[in-house]
Formats: sequence, structure tokens, C-alpha cells
Amino acid sequence: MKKYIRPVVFAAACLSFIIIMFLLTKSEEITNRPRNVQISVILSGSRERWRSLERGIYQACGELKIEKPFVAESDELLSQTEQLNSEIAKGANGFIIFPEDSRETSEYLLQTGLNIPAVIIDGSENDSLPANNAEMAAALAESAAESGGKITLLTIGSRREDLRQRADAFSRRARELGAELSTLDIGFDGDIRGEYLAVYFSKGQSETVVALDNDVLEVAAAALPGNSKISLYGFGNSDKVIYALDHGRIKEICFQNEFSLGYSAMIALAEKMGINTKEVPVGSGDSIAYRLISRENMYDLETERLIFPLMP
Amino acid sequence: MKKLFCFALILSLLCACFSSCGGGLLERGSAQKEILIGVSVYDQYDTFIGVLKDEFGKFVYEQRQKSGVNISVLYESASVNQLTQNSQIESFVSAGCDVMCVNLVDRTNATDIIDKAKAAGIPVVFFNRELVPDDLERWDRLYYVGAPAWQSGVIQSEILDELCKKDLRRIDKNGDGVLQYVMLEGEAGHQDAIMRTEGSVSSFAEKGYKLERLEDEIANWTKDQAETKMTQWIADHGGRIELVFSNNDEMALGAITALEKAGIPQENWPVIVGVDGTPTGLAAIKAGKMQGTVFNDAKGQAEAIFALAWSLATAGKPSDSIALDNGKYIRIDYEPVTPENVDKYIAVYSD
Amino acid sequence: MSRIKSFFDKTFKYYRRKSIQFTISLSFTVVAVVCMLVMGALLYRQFADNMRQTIINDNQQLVSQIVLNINNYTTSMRGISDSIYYNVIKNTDLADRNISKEMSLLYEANKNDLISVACFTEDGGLVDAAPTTTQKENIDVRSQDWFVRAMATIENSHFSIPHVQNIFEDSNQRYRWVISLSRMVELTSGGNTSIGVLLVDMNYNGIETIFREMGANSSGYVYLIDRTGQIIYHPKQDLIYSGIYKENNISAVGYSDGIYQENFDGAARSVIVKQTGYTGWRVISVVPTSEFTMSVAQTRILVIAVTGFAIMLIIIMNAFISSRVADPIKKLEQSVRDLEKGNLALNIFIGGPYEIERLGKAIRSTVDRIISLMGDIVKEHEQKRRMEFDALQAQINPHFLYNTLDSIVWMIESERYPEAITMVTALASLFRISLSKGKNIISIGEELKHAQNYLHIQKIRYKNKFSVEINADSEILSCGTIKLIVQPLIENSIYHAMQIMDGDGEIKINGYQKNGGVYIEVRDNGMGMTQEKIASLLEDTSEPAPVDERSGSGIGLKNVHQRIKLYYGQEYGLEIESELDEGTTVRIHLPYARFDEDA
Repeated sequence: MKKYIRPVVFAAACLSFIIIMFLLTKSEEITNRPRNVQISVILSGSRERWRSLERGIYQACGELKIEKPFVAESDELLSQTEQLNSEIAKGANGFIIFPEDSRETSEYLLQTGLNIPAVIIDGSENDSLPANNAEMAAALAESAAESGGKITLLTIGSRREDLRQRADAFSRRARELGAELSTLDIGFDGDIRGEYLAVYFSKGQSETVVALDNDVLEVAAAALPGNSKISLYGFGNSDKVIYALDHGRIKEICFQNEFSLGYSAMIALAEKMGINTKEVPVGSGDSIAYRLISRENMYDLETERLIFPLMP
Repeated sequence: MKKLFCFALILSLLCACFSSCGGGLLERGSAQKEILIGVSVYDQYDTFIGVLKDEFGKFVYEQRQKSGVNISVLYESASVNQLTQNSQIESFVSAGCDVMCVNLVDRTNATDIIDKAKAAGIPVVFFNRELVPDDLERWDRLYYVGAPAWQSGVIQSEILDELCKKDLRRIDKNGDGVLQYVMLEGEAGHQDAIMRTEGSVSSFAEKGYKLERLEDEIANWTKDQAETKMTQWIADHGGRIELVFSNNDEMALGAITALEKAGIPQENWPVIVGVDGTPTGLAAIKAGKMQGTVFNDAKGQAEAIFALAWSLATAGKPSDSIALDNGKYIRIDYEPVTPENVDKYIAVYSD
Repeated sequence: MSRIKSFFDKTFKYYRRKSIQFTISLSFTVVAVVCMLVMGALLYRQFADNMRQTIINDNQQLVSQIVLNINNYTTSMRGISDSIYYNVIKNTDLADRNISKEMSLLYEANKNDLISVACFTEDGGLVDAAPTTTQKENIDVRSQDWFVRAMATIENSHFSIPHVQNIFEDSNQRYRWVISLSRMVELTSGGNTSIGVLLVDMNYNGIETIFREMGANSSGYVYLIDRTGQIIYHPKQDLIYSGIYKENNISAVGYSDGIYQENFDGAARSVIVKQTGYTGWRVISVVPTSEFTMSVAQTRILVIAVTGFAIMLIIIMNAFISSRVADPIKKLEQSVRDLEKGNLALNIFIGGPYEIERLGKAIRSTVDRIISLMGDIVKEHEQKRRMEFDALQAQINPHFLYNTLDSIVWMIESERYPEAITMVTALASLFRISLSKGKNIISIGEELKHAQNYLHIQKIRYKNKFSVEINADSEILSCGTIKLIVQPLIENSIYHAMQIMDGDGEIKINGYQKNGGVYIEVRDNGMGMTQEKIASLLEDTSEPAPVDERSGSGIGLKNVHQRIKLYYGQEYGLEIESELDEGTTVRIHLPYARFDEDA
């Protein structure tokens, strides 16, 4: 028995040495190389509109040291499910989705049965993602109701969950505050018909009009005739909306901090995919989820920093 | 037993060494079932570029339907910053693009991009903003798709020639037989700007007209700057301006806005010609505010860029059906647009 | 306390009792391990410190580089502002002409770094601007920060923190982040001077590019703050503005140039601060301490691996060496153990290191000596037996017996009955003592009695040719002696000395005690013998003395001498003194030993 101890010990020593050298070289790779994750971001609308969201996602990717995701914008020729399909075929293993039809999208994901981790960012799934649709809508309602008088809510017959939540919360809060609420549908087959609005606006009434979606707000702002007495409120993030706000065409917007949304969504997706998120800064209670912005306060330093993308 | 042991030891040591050297990037998808194209434009606010991008997207979709191959396009905008564009190229390379289409911010500063592309072995199709030939020669997998800039200037002069043949007296307001003009230039050092400026004026002069240059300034392709310049010129020269040459439609529209804001009635306006044939430009022609433009065939260019990119990505070299000048250049001709044929071009955009 | 002591005692006892191999192995191992660990720790520490220092140095250089770049940038901006003011505004009477061409020129020349240049009156009206003069509606620049500050302190140029330009219209809906450089200027119009503000809006991109290009190489991050601590650039500024990330920028204002350790948000970090000129901005490089540990982490693994391997190696070497030392010892020990069991014939292990070999050889030679000594003892015993046998045999010397019996027969024939009786009795007594019931040791008294009996017989036989005197101290009579030592001497004397005497012969026997020894002398006045004879008689030969047939017992002096020596040791025995024609004294030297009958 004793005879074998020496070679056994020697063998154990060499083995452990090899293992450690191996681990050494491997660890260098592990710490330096970004992990192989392929994330796809499916958005609704043009990419320009979502620039802050993208930056938030990219920032999170940088913090997590993973590859930047592929961003697919709304393709008039491909539906979102087709886009999802093609991305899955390409080997995507994580999704961030802003669905056009929330139910359809979540059904589709279940259908594929592939169990690919996905984060839906319209507020339908994950309540913790900033910002809470109901909260934002209620805040906007308070602002809109201040002027008293009639409020016209623009709708487009969309199947989006976030719009539904916003509409519900807005209506409820507005009614609580005693405002007179009516709706105007300007959607037609998924398109937003600015012409109807133009006609409506040209009647020259003085009232409050509210759009709950960025694209609707853009169309509304564009449809306003000069010297209109209409106070336009709504949800918006895009350049066009900001421009319109700056030029007095929009009275006030509820600006969702989409940078924060993108960032949090990416972190949430990373957690779902099993990536270690412990060392990454995560928003606490003080992080800014949304802001009510008007022409007066849009150039305040803090507000500026939110609404104007710093880096191109 | 000891010998076997030592042998096993050495073997495992070698394995450990080699495994650390190995491990390349994982490839995105299998060989030919997927194509990734990287596109970087110099500025997302440039109208012409916007149209080009939309047309390109259409060709991508068409090809996707036709061949069943999954084509993905990574679009980036460099926001007029060459360094930003360089890092965008870098990200294309690391994403494993099969081909890159680059609209340079600074046409004199292509070295970085060429080096990166060459090192990664990814062919590049430059478009719309032309490199110096020396740079394009640095690698045999660099190409350029654009329009012959000189030609646009010549076409401008031809349009003017036609107009002058019809009604020179109305154009030469002060009747001195010399046409006083102002020139709105696109950008300092820009290929197209230089060519168009020179081309228009010298071709026009060749046709026997006498020209007097009142002003010639750079308005950086933008409407607002052109407006500012024009406002100043109106203040300085008033009605003496008989012709406005503009290197592009946007600046022409700026000149139009300046004229409108100055309150000058449209019949007293100088003749304005632009280049590009963007939807807004065409609308201005239709409205009679602009007298002509040179159609920059965005669709044709997009088609050419895509065809070249597609064959580079799939076959590694341009297919034989693509005609290349000097093996590198594709030049799509300009076409003149006047109030007579403007409808034809408006229709192109409503597809 | 006592428990600790007893614990240590137990440990030491246990330790001491362990084998050599264990002890050597353990000691070497412990020493070597401790040394390796200490060395490893020191080296690692040294390396970590060096690494840290290198990282800090690198970052310091980086910071200096960045400061240089920022200084260049701000200097060139100030240069532009100066150019416009001193070369353009100051030299122009605005009533005569405008300055738009010059402003355009300066703008075009610097348009990579500039967004716009603009000159305003103190009422906020626009004098001129490049590249565009279209202002936004409802803008009052008088309320904007850059305007306020320029008017407040007229002697300086003011750099603002980054903000969005809110003056000019951009129909492309583009918004620009700028850093405003503003100063008060003197405007001349129609000969009258008034004050205004010259605004140079720098493209924020310029600052951002500097940091993006250079900051990418540092092992932490670098950021920029203004005099009041407001962030001008931070790689995570989006996160900070959204409230997701916090930075210690406010307290960084308090640091002057240098290197600091600080603790922020639960993490320790090294901070390098350097101020830029004129603007009062500070470039701050932050390296979290975890970066140091990460970069040394691999080395740590390496150091541990190498140390571990070395320790392994040392343990093996120790085991090997100590076994090389201890194995021979063990083998030797095993041999000795076998030896203890009484196996003398085995092979003692000779081998191992020099000392062990020596030991082995020594033990082997000792064993050999023992074997030979044992052999000697056996031989001695053999000799003794033989001599005794001889003596015993000799006692029954036929000649003496025949002669004595002859004498007795003659006496009986001569009807000298009393003499015959004496002779027979003496003979019997002689033989009785000779045999002495087989005992080897008898008392000196008995020995002398035996001598007397002999003399009795010989006197009768030799018809009183000599006289005999026996004197012995009473103390020695009860001492022990081997038998048959006096009689052969007397026999010797009678034969060699008395033959030639004619009634003058004297044989004196003296026994006394001296110096702890017992002496018995047999003195005669015979013819003596030569020294050579004496020497040859006492010669030490291994051969037992030949039986001298002529003498009565035939044993001879040699036999007696040898036997005494055999029994009692070399220092005892016979001493002969002789003078020719005078006489001979033969002295027996014995140790003083009380004779115990039962022994």
C-alpha cells in the first residue's frame, strides 16, 4: 500500500496543477469575452421613435457585458409574429417586445413552446417596469382636467394592452375629477386617420383633446390648424412630439422615461435568461419613471436630460 | 507504469494549452441561410438619404420573398460624426455582417473604415458620398454606387437653357444681358457640391450665356441655413437676383421660404433650380415655386446598392449581370425634372 | 493555563515518540510550507501593489492626456470667441454693415466643433448669427443662463454645463446639446457703444468624443465635472439622470489635484482628480478597488497554483528524502531487534547514508566481537574442562599409583604395618580430595591437607630425604581455590630439586594473605632453574601443558598456571623465582575469595 502513495500523490499534484492552469486560461476568456446571447428587440413603429428605449437597452447590455441586441422595427411588410418567427429561426434566445396586439403576441409565444425568455414592455405583464400605465394616465388626467370643460379622448381601436390600461385609468380619474369625457375614434384598419381629426379640429372649438399614444399625438399635433384654441395633451416621446410641444402645439405631455424602461426591461430579460445581474446598477425608488412636461418646463436641466437624447 | 503516467501528463498539459488558444466567435446561423447587411448613413435627417433607405428596404423585402433567404439589415445613422460611424462599422464587423453599405460622413476620412473592412474581409459598398479614387483602390472589394455629380450640374444648366430659350427676357429682369445668380453650396470639400457648383455654371456659360456671380455660400445642405443666407442676400441685393442655383432641393426650399418671408410676390422671384427630386422638392415644382430639379434616382441607386450587396454577400463577388465602371463604380444617371414631367416623378414616390 | 500546558506536554510527548521519518517529514514539511506560504504571500502582495501602482499611473497619464485635450478644445473655442470679438465685432460699426460674412467664415472653419455663433444686444435682440438666424418664436435669451452669467461678470468668458440649445429654429426637428461659451462684448453702432453678448455654442460631441475614445482604455472610468460638481460628462450619465445610478460627484468638488481613496456606495475605490485650466472643470478617474483585485485575480490563482504545486513537490521530496534517511535506520533497527531476539547469525543491514553505514558496520563488528568473545568463552570453558579432565586424568597417573602401591606392598611385606596403614590412608585421602565429589573449588585448607597427604606419602617413599614445613595463615584456610595446585608444585620440587639432595632438602610451604590476594609459596633449596626455563614454564600457549610422565601427577607447572589464569584471570597464577644452586620459589597468587561450601 505504501509503495503506491508516492506516485499517487505526484499524480494528484500534477492533475491539480493542470486543472488550475486550465481554469486560469479559461477564466481570462470568461471575464473578457462577452457572453453569447442573441437578443432581439421587436418594436412597433419606426425606430426613431424608440431611440431612448434603444439606448436604455444598449446601456444595460454594456453593463451586463453582453452583445448588443438586434432591433427590428415595424415593417409594413411583415407582421410582428412573422418578425418573431424569423428572429427565432435566426437563433434568437431572448426577446424584448412592444406588441401591437398584446394577446396575440403572448399567445404566439406560448404556442411556439420553445420557452424563449421574453419581456413585454407595454405594461401588460411586468408591473415593475417603469412606468406604470395607470399611474401615468391618472397624472395626465389630473393635468387635463384642470382646465375644466370637455375632454375628448382619441382612440384608434387598437388591441394594445398599454393603451387599454391608459384609457381605463384616464377615464376613471377624469370622471372622478368631474370632467366631461367623450371619445373620438380615428383609427381605421390600424391606420391613424389624420384627416378626420383635421376636419374635427377645423370646427374651431375650444376644448381639451387627449391622445394616449405617441403616434396618435403626432398626428393630432400635425392636424392642428394654426391659431387653434385646442389644448392638446397626451403621451409622447418622439422628436416630432417634442418639436410640437416646443412650438406650443401640444400643451403638456406625459413623458415616459423610455430609457429607464429599456434599461429595466433588459435587466429583467437578463435575469430571465439566467445572466448574473448582481453587479449592475438597478433602479431604486428614486429613479425617474415618467414626467409631465410642458413648454415651460421642458428646458429645465433635469427635464432636458430626459427628453433630449444626449448621445446620438 | 511510470512511462504511461508521464505520457498521460504531457498529453493533458498540451490539451490545456490548446484549448485556451481556440474558441472563435460563434457564427450567426449557418452559411447561406442568412445574410446580414450593415448600413450606415451619414445623417438620418437628410431627406434624400431617407428616401434611399426606404427604397432599399423594399428591395430587401422583395429578395427575401424571392429567395427565401433570411436577410437582416442593421441600420445605423452616424449623425454627421465620422468617429461615430467608425464605431458603427466596428459593431458591424463584430456582428458578423456579410457586406456593409457605407454613406461616409467625411469622404476624405475613409481610412479607418477601409482598414477595418479589409482586416475582417467584409466587402464595402460606398454610396452617395464619393471617396477619393486612391482610397477606393486600396482594396479590391470596395465599391461605389452613386450618381455622376458633374452630370447633375450639366442637367441644371440644360434645364435653365430650355427656360432661357423660352423666355429669357422675363428671367433677365434688369435686361443687361447678364444673368445675376446666387449659388447655395452644399458643403465644403464635398464631391457633389463641388461638381454641381462647377458643372452647372460652366456648362451654362458654355451655352453662350453671360453670368455674374452675386453670392456663393455654403448652406450645409440644410433648409434653415439656406434660408438664412437667402434672407441676407435678399436684404443685400433685393430684386437683382435673377437665378438661384442650389446644390440640393432642401436648400432651394430654404431660399423659397426666405422669399416668402420677405413678402416678395411669386412672379418676381428668381428662377430656382435644385437637385435631388425629393418629394418636397417635387411638390415645390408642382406649385410653381421652383422651376426645375435634377432627379437623383434614389430607387435606382437603392436597387444597384442592393444588387451589388446581395451578390457580394452570397457569391463573394459582383455577379456578371452587374456592370461596373473600372470594376468598382456604378453610376446611375440623373434626370431632369421640370413642371412638364414632374408628375411622372411624383408617381415614383407613391409606390 | 495548566490545561494548555498539559496539552502541550502531551503533544510533545506524542511528537517525540513518533518515528524518525515522521518527525523529519513533518518538520521539513512544516518549515517548507510556512516558507512557501510566506514567500507566496509576500510576492503576491508585492505584485498586487505593483499592479495597483501601475494602474494608478496609467490612469494618471490618461487623466493628464484628457486634461490636455480638454484644454486644447476649450482654448480653441476661446480663440474663436476672441477672433470674432476682436477681429470682427470690435472693428465693425453695425450701422454700416453687418458681420454675417465673417461669422459664416468662422463658423465654416470650425463647424466640426461648433453648433453656432451668435451675437446679441443687451435687450436680447439678435445682431447676427451663423449658420442660421432663424430664431424660435417666444424665445427670450435674456433669461437663459449663459446670457445672465456673461452680463454678470463682464471680464471673463463663461463656459456653461451642457444643455440643449434653445434659440434657433431647426425645421429638421433636430436638437443640439451644446456647451455655451459666452462673454460680454462691446457693440458699436453709429459711433455709439453698447454692450451685448457673444455666444459660441460648442458641440457637446467634442467633449464626448474625447472621453469616449480615451476613457475606453482605462480600467475604471473617467468623468468630468464643473466647478460646482455638476456632471459634464459621465459614461453612465443617462443612468444618473434617470436616477438609476449615483456618483460621488458633489464631494469630488472638494478634492484638489491628486489621488484619493474613497468609499462610495459600499465600494472602495481609488480616485484621481485633475483640474483643467481656465474653466475650473475637473477630470476625475475612478478605479474601483475590485478592478485591482480582478486584474490580480489571475495572478493570484497562478501564485496559489504554483505555491500549491511547490508544496506538493516539497511534501513528496520530503517523503522521499526522509525515507531515504529513515529507511536505512528502520532496516538497521529491524536488524537490531532481530538481534535482541538472540538471532546472532543474521545479516546486519549495511547501507544508506554514510553514517548509517558506519553504524551498521559498527554493529556488525560488535556482533562479530560478541560472537568471537562468546567463542572465546566457549573455548575457555572447553579448555578448563579439558584441563580438569587432564588433571583428573592425571591424578590417576598409573606410575604414581603403581609406585605407591609398590611401596605399600613392600611395607606390608616388611611388616612395617603402621607405615603401611598411614600410606594407605594417605592415598585414600589423596584420592578423596582429588575427586572432591566432582567439585572444582575447594577450600585452601583442604588443598593444603591434600598437599600434606601427598607429602606424607612422598616422605615415606623418599625416606626422609627432605623436610617439609607448612605455614598458612588461618584466615586463608577458609578461602576458595581450584584444586590440585599445590600438590603439583610440591611434586615439581621433589622431582627437580630433591633428587640430588641428601637429607638437606627443605620444602617450605607458606600461605598468607597480602593486598587482597592470597599467596601460597612453595620454596625449595634445590638446584634452581634458569630464567629461560622459568620463562618457558610460564609461557602462554594455547596448548594445554603436556603431561609430564616422569613426575607424579604429571600436570606440571604450566597446567597449574594456566588453570589459575583461566579460572581467576590473567593477573593471577604462578610466579617463579629461582637461583641456580640456591633454590626455587614458586608462588601461587589467588584472589581472596571466601569459600562457601554450598556454592
